[in-house]
Amino acid sequence: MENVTSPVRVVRDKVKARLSTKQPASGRPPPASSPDMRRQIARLRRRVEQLEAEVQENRRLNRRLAELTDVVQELLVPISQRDEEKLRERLEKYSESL
Amino acid sequence: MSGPGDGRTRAVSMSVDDEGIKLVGSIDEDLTYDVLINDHHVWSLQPRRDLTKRGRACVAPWPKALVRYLSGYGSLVVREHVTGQPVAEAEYWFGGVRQGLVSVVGSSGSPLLLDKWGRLIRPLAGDDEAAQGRLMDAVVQLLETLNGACGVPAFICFGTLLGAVRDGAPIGHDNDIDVGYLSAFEHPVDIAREAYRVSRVLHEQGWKARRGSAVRINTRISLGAGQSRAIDIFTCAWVEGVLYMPSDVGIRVPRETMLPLGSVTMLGREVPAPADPESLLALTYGPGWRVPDPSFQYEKSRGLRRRLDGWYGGLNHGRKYWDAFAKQPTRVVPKGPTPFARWVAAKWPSSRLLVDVGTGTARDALWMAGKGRPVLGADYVPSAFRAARRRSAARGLDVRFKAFNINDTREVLALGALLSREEEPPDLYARFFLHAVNEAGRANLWRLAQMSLRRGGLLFAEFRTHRDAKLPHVFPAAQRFFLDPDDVVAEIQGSGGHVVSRTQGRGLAVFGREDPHVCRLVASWTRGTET
Repeated sequence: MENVTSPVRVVRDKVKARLSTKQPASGRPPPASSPDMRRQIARLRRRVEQLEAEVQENRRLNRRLAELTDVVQELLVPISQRDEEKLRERLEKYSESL
Repeated sequence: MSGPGDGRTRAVSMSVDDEGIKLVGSIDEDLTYDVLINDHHVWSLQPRRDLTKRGRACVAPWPKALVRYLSGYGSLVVREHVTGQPVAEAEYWFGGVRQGLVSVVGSSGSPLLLDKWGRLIRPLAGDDEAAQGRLMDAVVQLLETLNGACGVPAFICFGTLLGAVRDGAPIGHDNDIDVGYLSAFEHPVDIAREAYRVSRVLHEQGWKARRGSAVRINTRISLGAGQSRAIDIFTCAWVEGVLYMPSDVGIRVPRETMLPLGSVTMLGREVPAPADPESLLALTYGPGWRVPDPSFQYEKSRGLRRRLDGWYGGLNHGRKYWDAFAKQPTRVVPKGPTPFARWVAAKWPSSRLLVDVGTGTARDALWMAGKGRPVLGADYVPSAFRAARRRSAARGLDVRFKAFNINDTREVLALGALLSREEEPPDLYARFFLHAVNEAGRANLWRLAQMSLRRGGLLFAEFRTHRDAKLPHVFPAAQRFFLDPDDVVAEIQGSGGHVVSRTQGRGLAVFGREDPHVCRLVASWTRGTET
């Protein structure tokens, strides 16, 4: 079973890891609860939400493309044959079969 | 007894009240326990998930779906699921009602059981032998059609496979049958296209099916005496090395686990199964799959859900709610016309075809037809207009009905093309529809209008506005999009239409004690003024 970790958590852990390796002059990492860290995490959280929405927007194209291809493929042949009666029959049959 | 009932006959003591049950004693967190009320198994609980520690006791509230049945006397038993060994007993008068027995049964009198989703279902175990046999014959026939005419390797899967491998029969606490087929494709677009082809062939072969997503079809088998069972057909496919089995499974398995198909025996019938069902079941349900567990729930993977929903979902928006709404007693919705229908008939009289999109119980469709105009009622919940169809036939009205899902662009394009070929352009009618569909649904309604109203005809729409959001409602406001009429007008204009009449306010759609804030729009998609 796929085990997907929350993207927000992944980014937060990375930020924490990066900050903890950059030792400030005092030699101590900034505390996780510092205002800077909170702002950075909030900004990254918003960015991940935006990216997730954009990914989902792209995924939705799959069904849309499949629908359009299906309609074109099923109805294009009678249209190109200019067979009016067959086209109506095909349209009705197609519509009923969905 | 009027206070909380208790029983101390076992190692575990149980007390019961209207809020839930409380168990004290040695409860094994790795086991599943059944809760029986008056000898009926109504619920299976998993201690880690369903019980909360409170001091020495473990407590569980009554699941929401059960609460409405809890009235009167209940003799309760908690038993260990696998062995059937009772571990605790208690008695209680629910709701302080000192008469009658708690009876968790459906409208047909069949016992109901809480499923893993928290819904009450009619378990397969409640069906008699003849009904089970008819269902199995239908499963065999369906799999023959899928493997033969549809040309896809199809097999039993999920709980149905689990039951067949474990016991040679469907799982008693399940309520439907699951079958799947393996797609020949590995790209979501091709997988969906193949699924559309498969459902067309099923339709040609006489199977009545409803599409739940691009990779899920539901078909219903009549078992006689008004009873029926659902068979779900899932499209399973490898995408980038992961086998997706909608809607809960995404696993890395070699092809040899699935193909070539083998077979298993279920109620004496040979049915196709994946090549290595044991491995598949272990990956799907975990290493403990051989031990029955009615409380089993899939591990929720947000990534998996988002991926499958993104690729294939979006067709079902709101349908569960309307399916449930259609099951309510018919008196909930009045039979007579709405004020909007009277307004349209009075202000915009016509004899042209009226297409009632989202017709529901078809109260307006029947009234319009009674006024002498032909009507096409369309809705994605056909059970909602079943009674109206019978009434219209009895009255000889010129009304046709059509299962129609505005979320499926194929259906919109096909209906739009058919309507555009009508000798006289129709009118479209959408009462209380726009606020019940999402943005994609609205876009498809404009598309339908663009296609069918090009040569004339009007769209009549009435919807709840953003000013209605906080007002009191008779029915719950879930699933509604309260719309700013300016936004709706902008969308109409953006799709090439123009508004010829706009009215909004309260007092227009009064229903019982509810007086919603609504907007009525009449729009045209012709370039000139011809309507």
